[in-house]
Amino acid sequence: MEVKVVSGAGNLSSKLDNVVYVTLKGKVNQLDNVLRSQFLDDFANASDDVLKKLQNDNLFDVWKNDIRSSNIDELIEFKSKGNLRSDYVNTVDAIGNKAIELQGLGKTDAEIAEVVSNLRRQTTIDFKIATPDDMLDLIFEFNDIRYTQTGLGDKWGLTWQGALKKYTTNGVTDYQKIIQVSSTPLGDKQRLGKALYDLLGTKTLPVLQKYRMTSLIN
Amino acid sequence: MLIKLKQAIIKASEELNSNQLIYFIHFNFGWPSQSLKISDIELLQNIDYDLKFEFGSGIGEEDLETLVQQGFLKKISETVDEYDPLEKSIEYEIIKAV
Repeated sequence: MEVKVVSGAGNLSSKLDNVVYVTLKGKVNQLDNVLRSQFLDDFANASDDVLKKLQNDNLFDVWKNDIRSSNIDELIEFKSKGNLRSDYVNTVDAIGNKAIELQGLGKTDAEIAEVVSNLRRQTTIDFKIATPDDMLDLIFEFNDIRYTQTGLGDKWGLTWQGALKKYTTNGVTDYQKIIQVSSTPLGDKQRLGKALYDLLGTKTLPVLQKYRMTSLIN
Repeated sequence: MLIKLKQAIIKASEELNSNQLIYFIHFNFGWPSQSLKISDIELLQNIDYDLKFEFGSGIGEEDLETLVQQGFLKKISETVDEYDPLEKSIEYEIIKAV
């Protein structure tokens, strides 16, 4: 399959015919029609320097999977935070082990729940830089509606006091549930995209489309 | 990915001698958090099963729904939190014969 020429993309198509870009051209040709059109549009006037970075620094994959941007610096910045995002996932995973450790030390469920709930919340705050600013703004608005306005927390999500309120029924607090939610691994970005869209509406679409988070939105 | 997921579920089911699979999701801290457990053992954190969630992409409820449609899983129940519709737990029965 050959790269289709779209309006304003003729220059790019010509450049991709250069043997130097054989890898990049192969990847572009494997895109579906929608993504290929986006790529040819985003990089219609891209310099050789940009095209080389897309090909040689794996930034094409970042553009395809993570963030639709024609700004090469934005792609580089997103990629540079990959290790940070992995650390975030691993740190959240480790909270479950912390709960087990505290159990071994003879702590009560209430004591363990408070420690791991606060730990999970602090982890979210500590790793805020792992989430791009425009996405973080949507998450803050999402959390303000769900937690600040309901008295369960703030823009970072559930607080310990909020957890007590949320998981107490008829005067009985489900500490095991608090431990469970505090140590649950991070989930899928498409699920987040759907939740943000459902709660905040169509204004979220530009950001969700940018970060390719619309696959569950009808 | 779905084939790996099925293989991991079968392996865990046999090792743990249980056909009950529990999916759980909540949004208490902004980003969704979700787990997939058999006998209270987290499949997605166990590297032996190679199914750990990636940050931003991975297994989700829709994948489990696909396995239901394929007849590999049978949905037994879905419990949504009374005060938070985004927090829910879904119980599946594993149909190994498929």
